[in-house]
Amino acid sequence: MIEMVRKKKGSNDLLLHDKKQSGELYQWKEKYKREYLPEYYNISKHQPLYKIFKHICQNMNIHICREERFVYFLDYIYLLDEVRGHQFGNLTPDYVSFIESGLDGLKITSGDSEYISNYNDTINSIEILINRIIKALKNSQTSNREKKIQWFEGMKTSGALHFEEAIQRILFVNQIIWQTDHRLVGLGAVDDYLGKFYENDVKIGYLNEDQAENILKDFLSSLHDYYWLKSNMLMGDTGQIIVLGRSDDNGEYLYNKLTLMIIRIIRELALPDPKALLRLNKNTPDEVFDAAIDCMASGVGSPLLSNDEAVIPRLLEFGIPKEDALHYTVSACWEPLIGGKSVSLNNMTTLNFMRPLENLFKRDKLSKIDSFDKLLARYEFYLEKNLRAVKRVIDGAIFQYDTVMSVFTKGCMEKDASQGGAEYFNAGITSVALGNVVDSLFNIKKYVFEEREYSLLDIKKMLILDFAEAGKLLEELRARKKKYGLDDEESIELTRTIMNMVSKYTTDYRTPYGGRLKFGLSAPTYIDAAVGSNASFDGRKAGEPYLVHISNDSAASYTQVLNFSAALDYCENRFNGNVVDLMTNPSFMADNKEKFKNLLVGAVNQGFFQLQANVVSSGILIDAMEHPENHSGLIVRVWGFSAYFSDLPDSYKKVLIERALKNEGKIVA
Amino acid sequence: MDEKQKVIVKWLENEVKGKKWNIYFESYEYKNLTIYGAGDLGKYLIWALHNTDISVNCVIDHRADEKRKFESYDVYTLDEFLESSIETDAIVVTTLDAYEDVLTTVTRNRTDLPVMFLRDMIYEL
Repeated sequence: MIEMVRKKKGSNDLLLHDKKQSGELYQWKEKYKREYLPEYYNISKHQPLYKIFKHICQNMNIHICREERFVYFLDYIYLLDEVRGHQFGNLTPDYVSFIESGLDGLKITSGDSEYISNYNDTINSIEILINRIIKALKNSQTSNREKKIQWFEGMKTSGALHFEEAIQRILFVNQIIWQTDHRLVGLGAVDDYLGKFYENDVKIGYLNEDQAENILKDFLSSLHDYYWLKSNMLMGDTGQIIVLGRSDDNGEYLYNKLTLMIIRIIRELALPDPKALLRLNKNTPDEVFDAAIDCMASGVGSPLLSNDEAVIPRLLEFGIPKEDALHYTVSACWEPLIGGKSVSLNNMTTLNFMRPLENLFKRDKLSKIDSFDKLLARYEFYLEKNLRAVKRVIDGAIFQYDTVMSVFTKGCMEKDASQGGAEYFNAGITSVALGNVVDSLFNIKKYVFEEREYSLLDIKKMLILDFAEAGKLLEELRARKKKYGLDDEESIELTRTIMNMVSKYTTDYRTPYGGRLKFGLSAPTYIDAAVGSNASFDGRKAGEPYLVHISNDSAASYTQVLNFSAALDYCENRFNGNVVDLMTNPSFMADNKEKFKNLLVGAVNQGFFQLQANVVSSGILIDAMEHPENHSGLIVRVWGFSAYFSDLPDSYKKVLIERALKNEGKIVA
Repeated sequence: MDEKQKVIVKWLENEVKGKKWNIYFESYEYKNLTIYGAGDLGKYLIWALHNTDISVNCVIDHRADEKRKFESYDVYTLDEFLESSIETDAIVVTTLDAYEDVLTTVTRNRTDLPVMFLRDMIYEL
């Protein structure tokens, strides 16, 4: 059985894939360990994590592929998934230090503490793994065997010399982070930190552009390996984001051949993984926009676009030094993160904006509320209470002592990442349902305080009873144009007011280690957080999904939504990802690339924060739901990642279909 | 941990941190409460409100026919309570699996009466 498990590709992957899908994988593995690997089982249950890690490095299967350019493997049996506290995830490890200096450069050479001893022991374990890989390479028939042996020898003591070797180091760090069960592992600014290797190799004639492109293809394909195993909450939810392009100190746009090459390869490979995020600014040249739009139009869901003009000023305001702010990456989806230096968990919990409004109707003396302003004040009262609960979730997180994460995070020279050792250890929350709240409030304003057609008690009854006796009004509400996400002064003002409320109660908050709290207007929980919810007065029945990120599928134009996004104020702590989510038809995109580019150029100048798009028609989605066998390669964008449509639960498929239909004007938004 | 254990752990944490239920209810300006649920959590809440400015007027429990007194308070079924003229600022549901049903029934019959859920509020103290 174990040999079956350890084979990298082939039918046995399917066996584990099926077990993962059915939720049986962990139990199956634990049983296997207990029966066949009792020593490992005992260590994993009773020893600290750094000792378990050593055992893993000493015993995990080394898999060398004969044909593959890079050495990259995971061993599910030896996955370090023992939980000893809140696990780090959603992070980007520090690839650069390892590329530039090898293991020796990571060691702590002065000081004497238990932590330093554990930290250096972790590095020794990694060296054991490297030596085992070298031995396996020597015994293998793999292609370029001597070169690979040299790469791994070099990892122990010195920096990488060449482009291909540097990539092998990325993959090695990446596999260690996955092997130790850190979920959602980012890749960072790959074009930036590989650029000098590429340029140098080309300059000395060691490499040409075609060769580099082939190397990158193999690199990205390797990252797609174990897609099913790496997936977190949903298939495709891997957090493998490559961040491309950036701004310099003077606002100039920095990119290189690798930037364009990677975007092109992602389009050509047409795989959900890895995903790309492209940073933009006012000086982004046409060829970068063109490459990005071609890629988006191909339907792979990448790249997500992030506007430096909006993001960087917010990071600076928050106190991030300029040098780091200029190099921001993101967590698994969209949350700005100082990759390699940060263990800020940017997705610790979700703020559900609908909960305060629900609680207002359930808990308040509604007869005392006689104006819209009073209603808003009561909303704030309940929002503050909700935020207390959010803060208590964060306060209660006791992090797992994690020397592996510390080794690959800058700044952990005296303290473990779990004890505030990294340079950044803030906390982030996502948020959901603000759009539903804004539209509900507008409807309440109209029906209760302006037209006085209903009282708040009437509305309470309708919501609690799920519009049971108010079907006509429900239809009326559903047919009303949604204001959230439109370039509408009132809508923008109300949204800003509620965002201000959140900042008011969170900017002074500090985590147990002194970190600060950030929030953003996007969340993966638009379906899950709505389960068990009451109906809302925007025309949503109980349990129906909330609005996806910043979106308005009935908007007459994309400009409306982008203008809305640009008009919001992301100051203080409001920058933890604010994604405009567009649905668009492939034929529209194909016919309007130039217009779409102009739209983006204008939006960058105006200050939208981030944007992602699904380029797919309702017809294709409906057919793919009915006949998945005909659309096995169909990729869609959900949450902040790309995934195979066929891998998604039906609830997500239905949301996408409904949004596409609304976007095409086939149903009322 | 099951739901009840989670609530009890959070309650203990509140106690250790000095977070008080009476302060919480005062923030709503509620002074007179009805407790739904003649079980452990209902009992603890009654104890927590002893000697504070928040009074408890009675208890609601679906087993009222079997037990008419709980911690010295009268016990009613929900139907009895809704038919009565007992004045209260809010019903606080302490039973973990009854909130939605209680809310629906109360909303149908006395829409103006606030219904609060201890499980949710315990994180907000």
